[in-house]
Amino acid sequence: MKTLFIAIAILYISTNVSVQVTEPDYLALIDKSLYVEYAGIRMEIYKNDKLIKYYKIEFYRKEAKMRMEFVEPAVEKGRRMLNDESNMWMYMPRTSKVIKLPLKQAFMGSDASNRDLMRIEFAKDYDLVGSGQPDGAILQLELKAKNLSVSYNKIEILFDLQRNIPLSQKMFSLSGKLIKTIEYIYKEQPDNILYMSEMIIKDELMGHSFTKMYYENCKRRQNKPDVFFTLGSLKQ
Amino acid sequence: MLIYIKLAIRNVHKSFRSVWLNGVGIALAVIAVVFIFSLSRGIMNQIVTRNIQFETGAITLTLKQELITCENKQTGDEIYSSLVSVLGNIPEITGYRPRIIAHNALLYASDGNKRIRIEGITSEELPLFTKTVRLLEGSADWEEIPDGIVISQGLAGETGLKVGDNCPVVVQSAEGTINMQDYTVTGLFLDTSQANKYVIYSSYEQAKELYYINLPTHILIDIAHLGQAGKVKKHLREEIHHPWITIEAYTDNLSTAQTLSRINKYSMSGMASFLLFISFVGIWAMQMENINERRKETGTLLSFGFTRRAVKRIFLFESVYISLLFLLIGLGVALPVIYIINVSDGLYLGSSASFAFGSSVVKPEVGPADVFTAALVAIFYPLAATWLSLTGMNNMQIIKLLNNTY
Repeated sequence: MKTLFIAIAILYISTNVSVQVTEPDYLALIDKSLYVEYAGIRMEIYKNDKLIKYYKIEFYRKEAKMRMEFVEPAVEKGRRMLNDESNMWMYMPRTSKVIKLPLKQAFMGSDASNRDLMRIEFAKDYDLVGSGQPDGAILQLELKAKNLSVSYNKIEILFDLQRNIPLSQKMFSLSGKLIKTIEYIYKEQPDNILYMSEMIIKDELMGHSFTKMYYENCKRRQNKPDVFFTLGSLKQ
Repeated sequence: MLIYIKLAIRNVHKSFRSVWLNGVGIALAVIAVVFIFSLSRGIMNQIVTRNIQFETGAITLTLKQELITCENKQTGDEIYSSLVSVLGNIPEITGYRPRIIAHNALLYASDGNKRIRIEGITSEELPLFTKTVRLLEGSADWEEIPDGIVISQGLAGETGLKVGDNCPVVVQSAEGTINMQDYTVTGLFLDTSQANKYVIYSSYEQAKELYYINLPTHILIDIAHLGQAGKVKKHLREEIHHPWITIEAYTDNLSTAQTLSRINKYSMSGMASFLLFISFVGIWAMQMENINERRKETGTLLSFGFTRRAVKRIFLFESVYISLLFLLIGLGVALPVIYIINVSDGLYLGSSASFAFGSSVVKPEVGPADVFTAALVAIFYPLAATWLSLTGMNNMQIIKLLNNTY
């Protein structure tokens, strides 16, 4: 009887303890670590290890809304892209026209889709369904899309528990096949905050092709007004 | 009159060497006319028939995304079963074929990826598929290889894929998520246009799994008489008024094909007219030369008491006789060649020809109107040329004709 009482007491205490130790919200941490409101981006597209195209872009963000302005090469200067949460738009200066872009379309011929770059909200789109045993300070997270309207049904992320940042991610199709991988590289900037400095996107179905994105002058805050992120301002 | 005809026939046989060149010109004009008009008709029928028989059916029902997704399975199944019962109750409908069409898919090969369209066809449609799409290699036997696909020869050339090769296909499913399947190339078909060069055909079940849907994207409806398409469409609209289903008759989809056909027809007719004009000038020149060479003969006939009108008649009968003779020769060449082209599945003009003709494989189709037009051209062109050449004869003096001093 005494033994049984002790066992119940231990079980009760251990249950209470386990309830009190809550896991951090990894998805929110990932979103936070990748959140920048301004960045200068240089995108390089490689095929067979040869640089075939590059773009220099100014990236602006305010919560879920994003805007990109192309600076280089000269032929693309003035091109703008906007994600106003529900849709993606592109303004082409030569024709002065704004066109709607499908999210799944490859971003300017790169290995990233428009959605990969213009909709970065893991907490909104995914549920954390599993996590592996930490390998040192690195934990593998398994994410499942909240619904079938999200591009990748399953994502696996390697998460750095010490720095609270994602190190890499694997994107899978609905049938469970690996489609794309992204590797994140970070650099501490003068404001003592760790910013992503490089992102390598690889289309796993095309072994010889990858896209590198270099981030510079990243800022957590910028002062562009809300109107800057509207379709109306895209043409101006 | 008979004497003039006899004289004309005798003259032609007697001086056949001088008329054969003229005759060859007539035969070539006949061949050109028959070919051009039969090609024009063949292209038009081919575009229209292919569209209706295989690609659209007489009526096409398009099922919207909201209806076909797995998420809406219950609602979708209920609507689909009532739809099927409506189709079964319309007597003009002879059958219907569910089809899955997934746009904007990507086919990956070692050389890169290609934007393609996937069409999933049921096993019941396979006989029609193999009849419409000309398989060059392999087969569409997807019972043996369930993950099999048939791709075009042009796409195979661009990607380096061969029968037996594996390739992944990525598509954005109906609801938006990305899906991917590995496929095996089981056959190559001859692409007949830029549009069908980038279509790959798979089994209905495979396409359904890849596109991740519960119902087909389209239902192609066959009816007994195409002329009733409008009536059946109206009937269907009365019975099915659901916002997730759109109904189109083949006539609604044929505008592009018909425009293309009309462009072909007019450009072919233009080409034919130009060729006929050139040949008319040639025939006229040759007739003029022929009549001038026979001035002594004309003078002799006139001196024997033949009237100028009678002499002209002899020349005109000669022209008609030559025309009939070489019309038969022209038809004798053109019709068997057209038959041989049809027996050997058409004339392949290269994939770029599809821009001009709507198809790179052309099957000429001869109609009675084409033969009639060719006969008109063969008879009236030389006749008009001869008549024009004879206008100068009215004022010619017999002595000068006999001395050949004109």
